Amino acid sequence: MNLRLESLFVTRLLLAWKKGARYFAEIAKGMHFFPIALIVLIGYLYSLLLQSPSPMPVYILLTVLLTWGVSATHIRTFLEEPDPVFLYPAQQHVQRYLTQILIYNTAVQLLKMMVLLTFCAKLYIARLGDPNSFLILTLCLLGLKGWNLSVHWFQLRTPEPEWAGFWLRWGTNLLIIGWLLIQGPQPLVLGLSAIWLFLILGSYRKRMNPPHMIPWERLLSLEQQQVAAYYRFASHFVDVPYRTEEVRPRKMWNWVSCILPYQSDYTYRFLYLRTFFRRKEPYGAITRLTGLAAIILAILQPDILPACILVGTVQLLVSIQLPWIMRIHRYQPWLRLYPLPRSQRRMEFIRLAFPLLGMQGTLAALPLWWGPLVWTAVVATAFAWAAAWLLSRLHLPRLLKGI
Amino acid sequence: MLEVHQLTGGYFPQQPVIHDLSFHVQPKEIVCLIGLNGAGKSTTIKHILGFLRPTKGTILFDGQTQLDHPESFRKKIAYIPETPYLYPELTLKEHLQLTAMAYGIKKKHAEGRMEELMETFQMTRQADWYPSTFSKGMRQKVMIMCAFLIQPRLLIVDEPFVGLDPLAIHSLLEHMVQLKEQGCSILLSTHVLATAEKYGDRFVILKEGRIALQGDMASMRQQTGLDQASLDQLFVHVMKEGRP
Repeated sequence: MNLRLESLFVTRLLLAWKKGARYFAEIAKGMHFFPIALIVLIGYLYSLLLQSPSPMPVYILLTVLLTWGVSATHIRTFLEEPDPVFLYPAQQHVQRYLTQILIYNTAVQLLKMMVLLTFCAKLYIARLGDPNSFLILTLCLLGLKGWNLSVHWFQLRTPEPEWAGFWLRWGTNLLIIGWLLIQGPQPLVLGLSAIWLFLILGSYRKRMNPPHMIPWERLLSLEQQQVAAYYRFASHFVDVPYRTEEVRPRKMWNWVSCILPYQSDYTYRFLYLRTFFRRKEPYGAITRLTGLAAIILAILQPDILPACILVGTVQLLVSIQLPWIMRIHRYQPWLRLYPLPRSQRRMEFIRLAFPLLGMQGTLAALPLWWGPLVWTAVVATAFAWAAAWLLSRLHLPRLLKGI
Repeated sequence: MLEVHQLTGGYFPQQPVIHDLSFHVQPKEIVCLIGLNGAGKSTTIKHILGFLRPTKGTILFDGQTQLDHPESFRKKIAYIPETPYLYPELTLKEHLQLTAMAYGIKKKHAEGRMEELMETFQMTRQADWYPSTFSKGMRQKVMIMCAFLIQPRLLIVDEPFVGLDPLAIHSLLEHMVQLKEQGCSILLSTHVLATAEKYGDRFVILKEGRIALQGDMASMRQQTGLDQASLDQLFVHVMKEGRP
């Protein structure tokens, strides 16, 4: 390929979109059940909110949703690891490339915000305000989104830790959005907010490094995180060869990892348990699934049969995700060098899967204990452990064939 | 004793990378595997470890093949790879614990050894750190500590000096000599010929997947007719031999 520096950004952008479109087509071809079920569920919860007697849940939901929408500013840079070396002599082109990053990301972020606002429009107009105030809210939030992106971009070029700016932005957004939703877009709210936003923006701009100091490491890491997130998402539906995993040392679970006996019979459990708790996924997906099931059970407080079906379904979905903690180590040379029988890997995984699935089912059924029917909670919890046993002994061994 | 007999193999059976290699490593001996990039050193090591299946020949350690006795064969071997392979979700200390568990080393004994090794390689402060924060040299040190924790009968070391600080290189060599004195056989693949000459007992020089020269310094000098030649000079001589 004839690659010109002037068009480097556009070339990479087109390549990334082409790849994205290919994955989208692959996912769409699969006709997966989970996204469809999720859309139906969201639609159902949306209709419940439209009819709920009190507007409070709508205030809370919209504040949380819009704060998230405004604050989450994922920047794609399309930078590649060799760039700091190969683009080093081309400072002028790099500056141009950086400007293009900012323009592109602003456009994408504003578009995403528009989609979110369209989703919230009906709920807002039905429960909180009129179309005119929603229009003003929309303009304010689009402005706020642009501010977030600028602050994030400036912050990447200042020599300070990212968490400070992160909390400042999220806190500011939460306050302003909460205020806008409760008080409405009044001149006082808008004026005070604008002054505060300009002060922060100015402060970041002042502290920015000179333009020739390019934060390569931060920009590359941002890109890698973004690409990893896309691949992780796609990997739920199709086979992704480039999937990389982030590690998150979740210290609160360290005690669980330490209860295993120190024996060679527990070698793989020692590893798999840490993989489960410390890799970003599938822990994240499993937590989200469990949380979703718990919320549904808390809201609907169903009878025994539907409760058991929901708990069992979530456990089944988790059992499909779980073998990943074993699969990720397939190509590690150490596992082939350890003086342990190969069959031990699978056996230890199955022994670990049973308590994990059982605990996950128990957590999903937890809200039922505060409901009117305690028997439902008792039966659903017992069912969760029975299902965990069946899934780990019968279903998982079939999934593990060939690993 | 490690015995490699007429070993032929590679990544694809129809495309062998190494041809008819025969050499051995006795207890209390360091044998250095030397060659240009792509000569087949790492491929030979992968065959010995059982990562690749030979198309021809046998590999025996203490008279056993890996195929017949996989667990007991592997229990005696430690490996320090050229590229450090670490589990991103495990801390340094957990890497050592996992190794100790896999090799059935008693907890009390393992903990004492772990402290000792972390101190020797200046890694005590990093005991609870994750590999993402380690430099290349630190990652290599984790591999070295895991290998020495086992106290193996055969140590296979593939280009271990890259990225290590001088103190770590010194400690590594010191531990290797200690292991050798305890009866361990060591197969060392390296490009640092001065170190190889100083610490190696015998040498296997590979050229395009075949053994071009092997023996101790005296015998290699005799074979090439270069009296007083250093390992470096012998190596250059062998590599240039047969060139136009």
